[in-house]
Amino acid sequence: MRSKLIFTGCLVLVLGTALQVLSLGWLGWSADFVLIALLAFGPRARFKEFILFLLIGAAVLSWRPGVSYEILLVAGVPLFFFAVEKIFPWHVWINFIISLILGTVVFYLLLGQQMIFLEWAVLLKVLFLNLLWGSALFIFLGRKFAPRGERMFV
Amino acid sequence: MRLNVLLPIALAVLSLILIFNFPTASKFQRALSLGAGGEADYATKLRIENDALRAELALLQSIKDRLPVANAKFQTALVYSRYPFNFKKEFVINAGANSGVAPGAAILISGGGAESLFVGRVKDVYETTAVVQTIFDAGAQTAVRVGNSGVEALLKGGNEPTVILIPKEAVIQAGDPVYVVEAGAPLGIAVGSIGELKFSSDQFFKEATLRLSYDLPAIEVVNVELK
Repeated sequence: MRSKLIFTGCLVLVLGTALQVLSLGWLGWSADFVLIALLAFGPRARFKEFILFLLIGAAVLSWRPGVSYEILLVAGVPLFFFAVEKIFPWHVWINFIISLILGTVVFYLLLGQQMIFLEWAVLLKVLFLNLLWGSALFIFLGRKFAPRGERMFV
Repeated sequence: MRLNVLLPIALAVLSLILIFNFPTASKFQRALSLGAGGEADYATKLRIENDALRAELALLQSIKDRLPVANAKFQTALVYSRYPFNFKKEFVINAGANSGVAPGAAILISGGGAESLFVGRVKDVYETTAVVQTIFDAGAQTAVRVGNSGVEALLKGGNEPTVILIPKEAVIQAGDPVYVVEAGAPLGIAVGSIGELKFSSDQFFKEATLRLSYDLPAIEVVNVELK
């Protein structure tokens, strides 16, 4: 395992949790900072590192006794896309954007389908902010941890 | 052993401890949410008291001949942690089955005096904690009455709770108190007051925004009804 990546992951996940909790308090809604951070680590982390990030993400978001359905989704959705991304035929950048959009949609579909129809305006704002946060993280992690010779964009 | 090996193992163990010992993680979230809400100021307390008194007056005028017997018992509880995702507005309190809390119990906040406002109901109960669904939750619905004439309506939860299904002919106005009349909840507990009134989209009813004198993130202490 790579210490620098793990240290960066911890910082990003703690920062993501802080942003998520604070914006829920201030705005009443929030981007999915932790979920997107976990998706963004997918292309850069090895399996064991990724499992560690999932555990940390679940731990910092844990809000009620036991393991809640939402926490399982936060860990399960990125794990699914971590596996699926490997078989996507496109460039890593496009794979990530597809994972980010599909990941957000799948997360809310599994969280409560009726919310997508009732609160679609909020969901669009969430998706937009997720894209911004995810892109920023992807570029940052790509510069620091991409394999040598990999072109970040097509 | 090298740092590359020790650090991941330590973090994995710490994560597992946090997942299965959630109050530790909750303290972290709580510390963050404290910064977001801050404490209710004196003016907020006065507004809560005012809303509650108006609701009480309206209730007494509408059911003079059969006043409710105030026999409900309450216990003070602290807000532990809050739901960290969109759409649901729930929080966890540090009182559970051990304290006599049961599902459906009313959750009130106090302005400092005897007056209280209804903020939600207990959804799930654990040994020492309970999950509360607030009126800000999109899935919350509560039967209410409005104003001195006791017009029946439904409080629909959401980021901005609304009072819906108000009969079209009902004479109510902005500022009228809204209070809970649901079975199992203490009768006549105030929720807030009527804000902006308008006709529903199908024109069969009126609906109104709910004017509230507090912010959900600012709630740190609640009173939970004991069954």
